[in-house]
Amino acid sequence: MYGRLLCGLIMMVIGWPVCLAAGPMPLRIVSLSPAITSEIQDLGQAYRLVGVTRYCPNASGKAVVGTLTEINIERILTLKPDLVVAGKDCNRRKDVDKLKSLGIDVVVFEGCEDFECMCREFIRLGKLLGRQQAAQDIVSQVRVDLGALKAKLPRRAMRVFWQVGFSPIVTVSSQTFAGEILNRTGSVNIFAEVAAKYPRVNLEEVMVRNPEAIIIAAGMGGDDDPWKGMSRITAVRTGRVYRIPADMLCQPTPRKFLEACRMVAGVLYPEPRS
Amino acid sequence: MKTVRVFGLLLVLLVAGVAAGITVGGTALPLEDILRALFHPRARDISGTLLWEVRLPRVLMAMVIGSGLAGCGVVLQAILRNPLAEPYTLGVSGGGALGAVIALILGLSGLPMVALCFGGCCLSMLLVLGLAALKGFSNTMLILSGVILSFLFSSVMMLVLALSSARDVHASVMWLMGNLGATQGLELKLLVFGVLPLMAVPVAMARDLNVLSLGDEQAGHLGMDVNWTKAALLIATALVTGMCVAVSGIISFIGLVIPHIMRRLVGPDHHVLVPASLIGGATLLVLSDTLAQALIRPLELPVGVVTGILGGVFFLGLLLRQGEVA
Amino acid sequence: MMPALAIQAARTGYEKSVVIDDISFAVAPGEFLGIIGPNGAGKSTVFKALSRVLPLWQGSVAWRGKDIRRLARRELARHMAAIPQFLMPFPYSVEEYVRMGRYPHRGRFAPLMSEDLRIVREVLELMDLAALGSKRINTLSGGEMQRVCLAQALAQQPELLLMDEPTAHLDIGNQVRIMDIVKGLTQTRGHSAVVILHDLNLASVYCDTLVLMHAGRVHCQGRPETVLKHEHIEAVYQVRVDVLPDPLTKRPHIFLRPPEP
Repeated sequence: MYGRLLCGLIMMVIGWPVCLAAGPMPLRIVSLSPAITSEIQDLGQAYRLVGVTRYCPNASGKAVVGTLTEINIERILTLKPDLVVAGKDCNRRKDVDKLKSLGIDVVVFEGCEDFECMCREFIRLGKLLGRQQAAQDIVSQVRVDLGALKAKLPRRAMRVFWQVGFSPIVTVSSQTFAGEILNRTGSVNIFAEVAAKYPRVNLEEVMVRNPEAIIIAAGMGGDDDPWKGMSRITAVRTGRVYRIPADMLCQPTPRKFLEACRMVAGVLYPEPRS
Repeated sequence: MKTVRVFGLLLVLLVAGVAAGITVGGTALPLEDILRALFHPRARDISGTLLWEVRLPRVLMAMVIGSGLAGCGVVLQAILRNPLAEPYTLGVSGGGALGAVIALILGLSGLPMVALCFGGCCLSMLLVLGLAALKGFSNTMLILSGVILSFLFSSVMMLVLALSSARDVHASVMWLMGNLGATQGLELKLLVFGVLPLMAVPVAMARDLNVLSLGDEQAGHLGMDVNWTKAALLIATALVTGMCVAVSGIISFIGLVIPHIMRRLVGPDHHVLVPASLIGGATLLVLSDTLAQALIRPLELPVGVVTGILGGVFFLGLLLRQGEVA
Repeated sequence: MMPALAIQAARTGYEKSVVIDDISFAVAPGEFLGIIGPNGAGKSTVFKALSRVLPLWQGSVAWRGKDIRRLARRELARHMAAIPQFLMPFPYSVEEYVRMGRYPHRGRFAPLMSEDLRIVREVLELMDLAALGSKRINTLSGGEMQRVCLAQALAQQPELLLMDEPTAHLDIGNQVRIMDIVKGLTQTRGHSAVVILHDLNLASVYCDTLVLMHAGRVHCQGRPETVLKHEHIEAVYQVRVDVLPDPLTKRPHIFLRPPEP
């Protein structure tokens, strides 16, 4: 009896500093951000997830703890997580603070719009999960693939209008995920310079800037072409108005970014340079 | 004669607004190009296209919607005898917004979206009129059922938004702020053939509006069949509001402030108040939309923000200058 | 002679509760009838029943022998003008306000004719309002406002005037002025008047007939001398009074007799 107690005491005394130094590896993770969920899957650590949101990809069998904006704190507590990961872009500060005040370890990641930030945050996640090397490997591979993709594309930059809404007309600046895709695929965003990230722009201005291609990345009507009849615009005249599924574009992870770049490049430059 | 002077001033302002709308627009064009395009409608260079296919339809749309909302505001303030009444008081916008948000989330645009939004407006109008009819069509009941239905519809809309993705939420919020930018032939036709004929209703029924504004009881004493008159006017205004909301989203403040401003300028007699408000509403919306396009080019401001600030400042000035509210 | 307006065994109220019951009286052409009674006796409800604002649960109101529910509202408004207690609408000008009295005479979309404008002008003259035609009604005094309301009613060219406390909040000069105008209309034009009054002495001076109401029923009715008796007044109003004839006109006059301290 005393022996056991003594044994436990010794273990605590010895074990305590060890825990402090390395920290326990989290084994029950709740992810509040679809992007982070997909990054955890990229790292091959999906088995450590116990809770996800409704919009997380391929996460069947995990408990759903909320939608993107509304999370169920009680549900999270009953999952007894040792780590909650959240995204600055999709979770409310208030919810994060509440979880912290309940004694839960919460780590918040940036909602990245540019590629470098995505890589940085991905490696940070890898470190947190004890998979730093794997994360770095994935990032290097993505960089290589991106370089190869760009090398295959025509050198002449195409002027693109990237549209995320028609009523009102909303586009993206270069400081966004979509803008970054255009940057990295060697295309020119006709509204790259504007200060707002998702600005409402004027129809006349679009016509004057005369894009060579229009990418519609909103969940808008299937067959209905909002640009029909505006043949003054080169993109419309030459039939280069494309719709792409917007779901591809809302998860800022290195791999998803590569996929999105490939898709956009495939749409914009259907025939690779000979 | 004061009224004649005021109408002269209003028309001058309207012409100035249209001129500003045509010359300023959303992108800088040299004045001579605009004038050349204006007098050579066949020539389709870039300024011709901009002028005839973008600017003029947009100016026309702003005029029709501005008058429509202001006209509805006059009618509702007269019927409800309430200075805070406006086109959206009876909950028409709530159903419209819900319809539009559902359309956005289903990924609809163009005609299906306009139809869904207009359907929402009609649904909420029918519910409000039905609820009020159960209780003798009194103004209190109209206002209460309008307010309650607005809350109901906006809660349902919140629910829909809470269950949808961030992208749809963003698109919906943008839509709700009101916008005149995406003019297409279809919307313009709806406005010109739908709203304009209905605007004749308050013009033709000016005497009824006068009598109704004395209150239901007095209107009854003067021989009016109050419920039928009210119902006819309310349905006309709800249809107009519904079409405006379906085409342009929710543009606030015009329907509230223009009737007040015009009542101060030409008096409360609806024979002059209704036409004055129609012109005034068109003017304010054209000017606001021009500013919304010009202020932070190449970006646009939501036009509702500009109407709110312009109308609010102007009205506040009138209020402070003349004392008590009409 | 057939009465101009007759209410017969009327019962009505609000929601489910009965407010007036078994009300019957009639007013002849040229007759000035006053309705008196304490607060809550149901006078205003009778007004609403007579003016077709409130539907009857039992009984009937008849205009020249014809049930008013079978008359079009417009037609009724050409015979009978009702002036409820005033609610301030938008600040119309006096003339605009009085013109609304022509509403029942013109079709919905028909413009006013020169005849309408002539009638409005005459009524303004009659009410001594011609100089105030373009003044906003929210700037008028109480006496002027009451005359404007009466002018609107007269522009309807009615044969009967129905008024709910036209002398409320007026000084005695204006009270007398309004009552003189109405009395004059009954005498010179043969109009009937049904007027709710609070001032018993005013009622005694002007009315041909009085209807004294109490708790939703007619307590008694008849000529002022028979209605304004101290036993009736003490029973209905719960005050001690003496009633003495006016030394000049012999009409009854009420004197309050508060309890001695």
